[in-house]
Amino acid sequence: MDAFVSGRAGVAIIVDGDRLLSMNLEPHTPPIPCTFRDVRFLLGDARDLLLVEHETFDEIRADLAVARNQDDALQLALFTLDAELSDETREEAARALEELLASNMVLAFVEGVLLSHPAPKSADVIGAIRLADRAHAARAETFFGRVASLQPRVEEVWRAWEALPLSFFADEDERVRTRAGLVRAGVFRDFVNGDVDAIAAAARRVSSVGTVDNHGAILQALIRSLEDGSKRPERFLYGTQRVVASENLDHNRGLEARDEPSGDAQPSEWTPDLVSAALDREGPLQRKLALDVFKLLHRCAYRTLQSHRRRFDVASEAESMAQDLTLELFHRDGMILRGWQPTRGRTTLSSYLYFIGQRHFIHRLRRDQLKQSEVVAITENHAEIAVSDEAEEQVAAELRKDLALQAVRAQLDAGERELLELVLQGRSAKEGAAALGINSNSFRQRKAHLLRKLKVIPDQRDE
Amino acid sequence: MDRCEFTDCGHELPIRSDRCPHCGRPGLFPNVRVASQPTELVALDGRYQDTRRAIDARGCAGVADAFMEKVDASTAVITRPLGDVERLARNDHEVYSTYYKQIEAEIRLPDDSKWDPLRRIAEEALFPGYKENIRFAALTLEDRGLPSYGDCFFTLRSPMIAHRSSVFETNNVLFMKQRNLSLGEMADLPLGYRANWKDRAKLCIAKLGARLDQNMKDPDFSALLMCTGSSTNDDDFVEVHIFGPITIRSIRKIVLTKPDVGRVARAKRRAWGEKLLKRYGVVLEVT
Repeated sequence: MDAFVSGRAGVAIIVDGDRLLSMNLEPHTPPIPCTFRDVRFLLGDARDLLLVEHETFDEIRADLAVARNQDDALQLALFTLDAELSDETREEAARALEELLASNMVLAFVEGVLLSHPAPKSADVIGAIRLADRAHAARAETFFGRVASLQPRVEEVWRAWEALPLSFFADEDERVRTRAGLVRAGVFRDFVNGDVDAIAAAARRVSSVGTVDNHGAILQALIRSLEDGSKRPERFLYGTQRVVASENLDHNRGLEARDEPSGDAQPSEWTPDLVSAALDREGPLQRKLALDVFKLLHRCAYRTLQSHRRRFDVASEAESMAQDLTLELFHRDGMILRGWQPTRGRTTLSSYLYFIGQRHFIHRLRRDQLKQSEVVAITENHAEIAVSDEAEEQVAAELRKDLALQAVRAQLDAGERELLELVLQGRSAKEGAAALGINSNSFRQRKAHLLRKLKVIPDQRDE
Repeated sequence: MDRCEFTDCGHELPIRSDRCPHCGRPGLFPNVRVASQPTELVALDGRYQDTRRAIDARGCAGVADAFMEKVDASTAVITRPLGDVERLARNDHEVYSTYYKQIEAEIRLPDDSKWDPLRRIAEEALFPGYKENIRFAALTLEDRGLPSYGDCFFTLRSPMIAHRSSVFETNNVLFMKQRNLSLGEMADLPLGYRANWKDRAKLCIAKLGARLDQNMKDPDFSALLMCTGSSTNDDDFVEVHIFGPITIRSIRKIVLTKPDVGRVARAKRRAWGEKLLKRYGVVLEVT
């Protein structure tokens, strides 16, 4: 028997030879004969139809129950992400979601949908992680952690899909239908996970239900588009590039090679909300943010390079480094800038940027194969310079710790190094867990193990 | 016969039209115009005055005044299955359709019951040529509807419907059936059994005045205005006829009478209620 199953409507339409029957989720209720005209009435505006084939009504009802749970879980996940709702309501949604995510089929479905499109600005993923944690919903917390950490990749895959020419499809409607089929089959999730075998398997599934005719060509094109994607500039950056370029010109006009940048940026007035507002829309506020970020990083880079006057044209190199990092910070919808949380130890945007800037510039110098002794010199030099500034004190402390860890870092494997980076960035258990796609408890355990291995005192701010 | 209010036109406005057929300008809603005809007003007033005299003779004038005051603040409530209301609440593009429009759009089938032909005849008599535009509700004093029509009540915002609503003595099909009206009589319905929105208290006194007694208090008025029977045949209420569409923004409150079973259903309902309140100012109550 074939059956069309809709979790949203909670109804299965069964095609049994010449008969048409409808069945709901009520146990022990036999299917009821219906006509073709009834189908629209029974399904209403549900669009989540899934074609299944089974021998018995019980098997169809089991599929219907799974489809219902999948639809419920998706709705609950969206409620948990919805910043418009109160924390209490979102917490209750997370708690209910926890039950449903125990099923791998449900988890795969919700993941397939949420990883098929970048989270909209209205989606509060970090809040969802926090509330799932508060609700003791470990599965939900891990799930939202994965959604958060995979966003950059989700965006890449989404852009690759958007870049596919319409010629692959008969028309825009078919493009929409095809995408829906691929989402349902979990193809976008598999692309995000980079799981080639799973993509091939998903493609076969899509093909088997006849949703997509030329799935092979589409998937190949998607892969090619993903490969090309990294070479394309982001539209979002154009405005920032213009601002930074014009700022460079201004600086070059009046700046002598050995002059320190004025550092006249006053980013103390920036708050996370203001930063988000600036990133949300191109305009004067965004330009001011770009300028402030650039000026501060320029000053930071200049100081970092002071010990290398003989090696570099410091003014020019500092500008170049600051420009690169500024643009990087505005990448991916300004995700790194949006990640600033004053409650996490870096109370001002200035201290946050110094922290990022110092680490970035030093890594860059290392990458350029500077000698270790020179790095130490830079760091110590910086630690001396920065004593008057609370923000810079934090940076200096971080860097001292960084040096202490260098000797043992080489002994760590890739996973441990990734964990160490998160610990050094001052990430909380929740944030770190989200970045690694594990739950908070696992993160804490791994961190304790790592610190024991390193014999380093844990960073108290983290807890 | 009404005339078009536009001075350069001024031609007769057919009773079934909601706009002038000659110049296209909008007129009043036909159900409201019918209920506001001088003959209807006079007949209703006659019934009202007769009932008031009887009430005064029984010494129930104070109770009648209190009842009228309550009815003046009454609202219109519609009862539907939860699924219908969930669809309506999805966004403000969803429209609460009429029975006839649903059939026309092939999203539902006609009822296979003896009521279907009866309602078609009764409604054609009441709303000649425009029955497919009329939505039905009941007058209520406390946001409760008639359970025999579904498990979900939604109360409408009076300012959104007052100008396009009329009220009728009772369920219009039962009205015709109880009086054994012939087809000929249906074409010329008895007068004084319908009113425009602002005169609904008069109609209620005319209908229910004989049942008022001196011991009645405010809580008794609700059951008097809407009496729930064991089936739709036994329900007694004042029917509200609303011309034109209803969306979530026409709704003030939704009452669910079927409790949610399980954590998932409760969590979904809570989130749904909160969104309704924030987006549309609609209060959700689960009883």
